[in-house]
Amino acid sequence: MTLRARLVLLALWLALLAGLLAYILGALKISTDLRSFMPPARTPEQRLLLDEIGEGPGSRLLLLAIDGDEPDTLADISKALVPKIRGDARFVRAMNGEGDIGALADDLLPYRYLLSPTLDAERFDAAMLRDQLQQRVQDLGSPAAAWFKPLLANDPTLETLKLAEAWAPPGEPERYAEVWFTRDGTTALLLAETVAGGFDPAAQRDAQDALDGWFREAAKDTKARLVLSGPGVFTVRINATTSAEANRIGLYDSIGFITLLLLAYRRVGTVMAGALPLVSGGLAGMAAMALVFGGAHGITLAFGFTLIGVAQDYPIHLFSHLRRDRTPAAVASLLWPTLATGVASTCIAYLAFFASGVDGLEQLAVFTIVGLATAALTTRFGLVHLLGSRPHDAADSAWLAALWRRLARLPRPRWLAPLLAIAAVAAMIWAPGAFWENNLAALTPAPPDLVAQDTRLRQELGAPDVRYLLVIEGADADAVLAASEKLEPKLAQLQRDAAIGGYELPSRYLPSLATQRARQANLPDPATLRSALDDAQQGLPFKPGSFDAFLRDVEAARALPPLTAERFLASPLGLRLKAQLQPRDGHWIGLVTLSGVADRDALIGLAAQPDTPARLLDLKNASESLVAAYRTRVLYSLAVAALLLVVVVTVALRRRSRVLRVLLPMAVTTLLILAVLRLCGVSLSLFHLIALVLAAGLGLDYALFFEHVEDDEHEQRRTLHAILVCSASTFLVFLLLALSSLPVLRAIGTTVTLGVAFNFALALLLTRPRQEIPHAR
Amino acid sequence: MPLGSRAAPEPPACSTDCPSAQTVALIEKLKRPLPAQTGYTEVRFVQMLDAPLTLRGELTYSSADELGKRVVSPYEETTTIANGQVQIARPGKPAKRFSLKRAPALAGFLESFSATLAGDAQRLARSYVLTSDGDAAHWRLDLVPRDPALARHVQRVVIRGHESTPRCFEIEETGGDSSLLLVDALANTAIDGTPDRKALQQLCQRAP
Repeated sequence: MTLRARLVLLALWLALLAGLLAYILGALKISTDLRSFMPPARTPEQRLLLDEIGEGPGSRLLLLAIDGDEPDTLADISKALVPKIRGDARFVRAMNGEGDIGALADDLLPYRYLLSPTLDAERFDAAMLRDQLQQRVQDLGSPAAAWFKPLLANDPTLETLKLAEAWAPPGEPERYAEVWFTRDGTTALLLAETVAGGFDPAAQRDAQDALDGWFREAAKDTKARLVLSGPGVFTVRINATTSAEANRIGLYDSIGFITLLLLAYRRVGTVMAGALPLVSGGLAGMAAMALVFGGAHGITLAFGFTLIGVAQDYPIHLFSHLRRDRTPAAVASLLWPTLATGVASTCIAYLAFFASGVDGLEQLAVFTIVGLATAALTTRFGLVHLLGSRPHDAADSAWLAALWRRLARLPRPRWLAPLLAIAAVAAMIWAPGAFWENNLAALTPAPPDLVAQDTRLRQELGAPDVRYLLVIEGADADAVLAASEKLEPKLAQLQRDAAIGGYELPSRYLPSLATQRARQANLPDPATLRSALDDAQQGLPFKPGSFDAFLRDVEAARALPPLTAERFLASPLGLRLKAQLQPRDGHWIGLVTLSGVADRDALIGLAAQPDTPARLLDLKNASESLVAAYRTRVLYSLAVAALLLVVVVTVALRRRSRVLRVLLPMAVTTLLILAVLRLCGVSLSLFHLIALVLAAGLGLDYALFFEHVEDDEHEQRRTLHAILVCSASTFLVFLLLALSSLPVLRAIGTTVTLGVAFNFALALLLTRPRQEIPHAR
Repeated sequence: MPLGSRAAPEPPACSTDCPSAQTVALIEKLKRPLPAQTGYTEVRFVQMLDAPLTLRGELTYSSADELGKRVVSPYEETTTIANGQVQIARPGKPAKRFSLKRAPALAGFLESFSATLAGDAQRLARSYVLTSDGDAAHWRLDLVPRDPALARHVQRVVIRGHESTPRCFEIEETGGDSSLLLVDALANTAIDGTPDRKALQQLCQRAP
C-alpha cells in the first residue's frame, strides 16, 4: 500500500473510533452502586440488604465535625448548614440538636396527649396537676423561665418538652448555643443522612461535594474547618486513592511497555499503530454494552479492561513475525489460524458468563467478547495495511538465535505436569487460613486515621452501629408499630445490662393506634378536668383562666382520630420516621437501629426468643453471604467456560496429543497460582478469580503459538520473539500492580504476574513438539 | 453577644451613647475581689401569677463567667453557670442543662453583675448604654442592652447601691415581667404579705 493510502486508512480508522467514543459518551451510563453488580437475593436477609435498606441506615449517615474557630462561630455555621441539607433532594435528613421545641408541627400539636407516654401511667387528676403546677411555679422563678413561659398556657404539664426529649437521638451529644458539640466544646457536630447508599462512590461524592460547598459558603471569613466521616466518606476516599494509584501505575506501565516495544521493533510508527486494535476493542466493547444494556457498572468496566488486556498480544504476534520477503497481510494470513483459535475459544468461553443471570457478569461477557473479537479482526484486516514494507525482522537478532538454541535443548519432562498438579492441590488443601475472602472491604481497607476519627465522632454523636440492625415486618404500618412497642421493654433491659448503648425504635416517634386510643381514653372529660384543675390551683399564685387553652386542647384531643403513619410521615417530623418505617411491596418494614453494641451474643439471644417480633440483621454477614453467592455464580460460569474452551480447542486442533499439549500448561498454571497464593496466606477474592481468567487466556495464546511452530528455524525464532515480548510486557505491567500498596491492585497484579511466569515456563517445557528436538543443535 | 465573644477581636470600647465620666467613675468604684459571695432575696413579678414569687438563697461568683445561684426557700434549686452553659438542679430530679443564650434574662444579669463586680466600665459600655443618677451615697445605674438579640428579651437592668456597694439588681423583661434581686445589706430584707415593686425600689434607693 502507498503511504497516501495508509494515511487515508489511518484517518478513517481514527474517525471511526472518534465516532464510537462520541456514541459511548452519550449512550453509556456508568453506575457505581455496588448493589446492581450483585446477584439476585436468595435469603430474606440478602433481600433486605439489596432491595429495602441499601446497606442500612447507619451506612448512609455522614458525620460532620466543624472546628477551628470560636464556638459561637461554629454554632452559627452549624445552624446555617442544616436548612440547606434539609432542602436538598440528595439528603433524607440533617440533625444538629437544634429546634427541638415546637418540633411538632402546629396541626399535630393537639396530638401531644396521644403521642406522649404520660397518660400510660398517670391521669390528669387534681394531685397530678397540682404537682405539675407547683413545678411550673418553680420554673417561672428559675433562670429558665423565658424558655417555658410561652408553653405554659396550652401545655402546663410540658408534654411538648417530654416529646422533644424522647425524640432526641439516643446518647445525645452535649450542646452549646442549642447545637451539638463535642464534650470538650471545641467542635460542632452534625448528622446528615444521604439518600444514596454508603457504598455508591459517585453518588456519595456528589452529596459530599454539596456539603463542602454549603460549608464554604457558611464559613466564609472564618477559620472553621469541616471534617466529614462515615462509610460514605471511606468509600469516596478509597475510590479516589485506588484510581489515583491505578492511574499512577498505569502511567509507569505505559512508559515501560512502550520502551519495551520500541526496543523490540525499532519502529515508532509500528509501535503506535499497535495500540489501535486494543483501543478499538475497548471502544467497541463499551459501545456494545451501551447498545445491549444502555449502561454499565463501573466494576464491569474495570474488570473488563483487565480482561481484554490480552488483546495487546495480537499486534505483538503480528509484529514479531514480520519479514522483508512477505507483506504484513501475507504474514497475518499465515498467523490467523493460530490467533483465531485462541480468540475464538476465549470468546466462546466467555459466553458462559452471559448465561450467568447476573447483570454485572452479562455485561462483562458482552464487553469482553466484542472487545477481543474486534481487536483480533482489526489486527488481521486493518493493522496489516498500516504497516510499512521494511520491517525489523526479529529473526536477524543474534541473541535471539542463541537463546532459541538453548531453549530448544531444554528437556520435555512429561512427568512434570502431573507432579506439579498434585503438589499444587496438596498445597491448597493444607495451606493455612481461610480459602475465600468474602469481605470485599478487606481488599479496600479504610485508612486507619479515618477509622479512628470515625470511632471518636461516632461515640460523641451516639450514632447508630453500621453492622447490626433489628428488622420488624408487618402487614401494615400499625402492625410494625405495635411490634416495635412490644420490643421496647426488651431493648430497655439490654441497655440496662450494658449490652447495647442505645436504640431507636419506630414507635418512639409514633405509637400504635391502640396505644393512642388507650391514652385518649385516659383523657378526662371537660367538666372533670376543669374541676381537677381548679382544685390543683388552690393556693398557687396562677391567675384565674391561665390554663383555658389547656382545657380546650385536651377537649380537642379527646375527639381526634388517632394519628396514622401516613399522616405522620407527611409531616416535617415524618422524615425521621421514614428512615425507620417504610412500605414495601404490600407490607411494611420497621428498622431498629442500635448504638454502642457491646454484647453481640445478647442481641442474638434476644432475636432468638420466640416472642421477639423482630429479626436481627447482621449486615456484614448478609453482604458476605451475597459475595459468596456471587462467587458461586462466577465459579459455575468458569467451570462451564473451561468446558467450552476444551471443546473449542479440541475441534480446532483435532488431535488429542495437540489438545493436551495446549491445555496442560494453562491448567497446571491455574493450579500453581492458586497454590502459591494460598501458601502465602492469601485468601482468594473475586478479583483473584477474574485475574485467573486473564492469566488462563494469556497461557492459551502462548501455548497455541508454541504448539504451532513452522519447520523453518527463522520462523521459530520469530515465534519465540513474539512470545517473549508478549510475556515480558505483560509481566512488567502486572508486576508494578503487584507491588501496589492497595490489596485490590495487589490481588490482580500478583495473580497475573505469577500466571505469566508459570504459563511461559510450562508452555516452553510441555507444549513445544518433541520432534523438533533433533533439529536443534 | 454579651458572652462567649471573649476571644473575638475587641470592638472599640464605645462609639455611640458613651457613658459619662461620672458613670465610669461610679462603676470603677464598684470593683470587688473574687471570689465573692452574698445572700440574696429575689422578688419576681410574673404576669401569669397574681402574686410575685419571693425566693431566698445565695449567690457565688468566682470568675467573669462562672456564677452559682442557690435557692434555699421556698424550695431548693441550684443554678450553675459556667462556660456559657446553665445547669439547673432540683433535689430528686434530673438536672436540666441548656445554653445560656436560651435564658437571655439570666445572660443579661450575669453580664451586668460580673462587669459591675469587676469594675469594668469599658466592658459594660460595650454591651449596654449606661446612664447613672443620684449621689455617691445613693446611686442608680441604668443599663440598656445594645445587642438586639438581648434587647428582644431584656428591656433594662437597673442597679441601685449605696456608696461602693450595689444592693439591688432589677431586671425588666420585655414581656412585662421583672425581678428584683436584693443583695448585701438588703439580702435579708423581711418581705411581708404581697411585696410591692415600688416600695422595694424605694427601699433600694433610700436605705441607709
